Amino acid sequence: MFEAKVKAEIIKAMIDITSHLINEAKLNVRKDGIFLRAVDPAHVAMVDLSIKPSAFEDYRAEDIEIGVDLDKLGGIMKLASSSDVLSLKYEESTNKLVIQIGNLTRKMGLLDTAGMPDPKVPNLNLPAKVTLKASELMQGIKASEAISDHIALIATKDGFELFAEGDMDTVNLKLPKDLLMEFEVPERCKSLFSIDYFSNMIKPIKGSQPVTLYLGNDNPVKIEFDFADKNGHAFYLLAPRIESE
Amino acid sequence: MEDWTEKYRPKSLDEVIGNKDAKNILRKWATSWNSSRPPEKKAVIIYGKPGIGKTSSAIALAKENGWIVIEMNASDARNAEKIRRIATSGALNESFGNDGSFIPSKYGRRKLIILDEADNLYERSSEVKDSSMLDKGGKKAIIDTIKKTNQPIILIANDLYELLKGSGEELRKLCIMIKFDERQIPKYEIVSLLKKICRMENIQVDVKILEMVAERCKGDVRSAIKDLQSICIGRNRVEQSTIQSIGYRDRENTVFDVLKDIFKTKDFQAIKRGYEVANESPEDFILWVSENIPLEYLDIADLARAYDRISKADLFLGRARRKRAYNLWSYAVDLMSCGVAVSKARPYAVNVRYSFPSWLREMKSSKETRDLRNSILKKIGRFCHVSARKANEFLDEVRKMSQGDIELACSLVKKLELDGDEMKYLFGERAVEVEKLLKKGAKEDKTRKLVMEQKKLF
Repeated sequence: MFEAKVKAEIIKAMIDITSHLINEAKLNVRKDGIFLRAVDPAHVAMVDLSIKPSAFEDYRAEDIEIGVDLDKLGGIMKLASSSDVLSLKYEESTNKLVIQIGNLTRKMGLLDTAGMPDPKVPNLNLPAKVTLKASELMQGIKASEAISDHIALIATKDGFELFAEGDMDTVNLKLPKDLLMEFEVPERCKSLFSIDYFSNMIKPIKGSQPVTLYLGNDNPVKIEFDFADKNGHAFYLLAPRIESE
Repeated sequence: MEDWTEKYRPKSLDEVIGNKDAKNILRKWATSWNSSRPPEKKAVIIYGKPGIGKTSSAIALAKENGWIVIEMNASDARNAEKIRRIATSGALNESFGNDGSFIPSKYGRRKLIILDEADNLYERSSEVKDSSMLDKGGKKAIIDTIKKTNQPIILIANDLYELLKGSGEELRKLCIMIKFDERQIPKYEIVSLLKKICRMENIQVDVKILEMVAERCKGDVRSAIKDLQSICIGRNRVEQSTIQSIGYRDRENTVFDVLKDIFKTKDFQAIKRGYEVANESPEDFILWVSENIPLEYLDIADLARAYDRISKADLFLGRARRKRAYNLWSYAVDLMSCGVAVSKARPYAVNVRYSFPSWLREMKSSKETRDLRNSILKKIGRFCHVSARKANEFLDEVRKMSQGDIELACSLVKKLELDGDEMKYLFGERAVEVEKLLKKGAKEDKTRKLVMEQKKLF
């Protein structure tokens, strides 16, 4: 059983956060909220997302799994403006999600979740923790995109650094630790990442919102942030580039 | 019901039957990835007929080495962008497993990128209308990926030529090519695999049936397993007697196979099934049968009966065509196939090479001359106000007359506006003379014209 009323912007945010990595998602709908975790088809990134019942205007659910085609759901969300309140209902007899937008009723066929894996969050050694505004990161990403396809994220005792190197050009974004909202770096950490993945992960975070990065040495980066007035929480894990000697 | 081909997909390379040498090359290549540096050839092309274990070997190889698999097959829309997004980024980055675990490649956890049906993908990308986009298609994306990759890649193809043609030529240098050969799969291994499956499924199947299935699949293990499953559906015991009623796989059934069934057996079902698959129209097929009857049937009474049925079949074909009642075809087909089959008193022990209908061959080789004649007939018809068919009645006379009288021939060319080929057809060897005379005539005409004009001037 699942019945809810929610602002369209919450669902839109969920799609923004996930759809650049995956086309299909398994939503675990539970009493305490909606949960999603998936690995992208290239096995390079993982996304984990949860939305608390408090994000909804109205929320009633028992444990079920819903397989959603995210492109399709995104298309439906275009029918609604952000502040519209939708009503969602899972129709068990037909395995459809009934979405009510004002006077419009849209029934969406759901996917079979049987084949979708349930990845676990791996144990990673990520000693460095840095919190900063998403807009600051975005500036560095935009500058780097023009010259390279990968970036280095570096955390030192003095601050956080984003570094990209092209054939002739370099980009260096340096943020000293007193400019950072949170800073815990016991040792120097550095890893390389694909810029298009990293960029897509920062884009869904609204400009001035804080984002927390957890870094290790040649280890994945964890990118953690809240959305929907802290009623939603998400993190990405992005695998590093393979460094060929 | 679960698909047995998936359920019993080999879990290790040893379980893939046959092609030992090919599998050893694969294994060797896999171990070359175990050093910190990627090997020189970072990709492999596995090619060969369908159903003989190419994809299974690739997946089994990954399992043996504890690699993660990213598989892109034909059902995914594989344009250049998608290949870049999944294969290329997969090839450059470390990876999470399906269970979410993270082990860097330097500790041996690689990610195998399998591009299934790689020979099939360029047709799709060539749907791009702008031809300048063609080169940016899937082939280019694959080559780029292989050049850059830090992870092993396997391309799988049925048709190696299709994969390597055009810009795919570069793949030759980049990849190790491994052929999987259906002849390298011994029949007894297929039988023992089928036996194993039967044991696991707890179904008793007569060994003779398994042998028959293994024989028919011609090395295509996947279709052997599929056949077995279709035989076993809803049964827990299959005897030899039951299989007669079960449809079997018609693989590349040609006209020759149907002819053999017609002439050697009286098995209506097999004949009709074969005919359906052979994909030959009844109007052509009747030619095939009538051409080959005298080669097979030696007894005069058999011959008479067979041709009697052929003539009746022909009646139906004629009616079907005239009245556009093509439902009559089914009677024609029955007569020309099964009818001919039951015409023999007993099967002949001769070994005949069936031949292509001579009528069709003649028609094919005479097509050009027939076209020529038709166009001449049309021209004569237009000139004489008769149909082309009527003109055909006196074409021979026209030909004889014009060959005896060059002047007449010349005026014919002018009046009918015949071209060179048509002149050759009509006048035979004298066409050269006619042409000369015409040229001369044209010159004289020209001079006469000039003279006339000059006369006018004065």
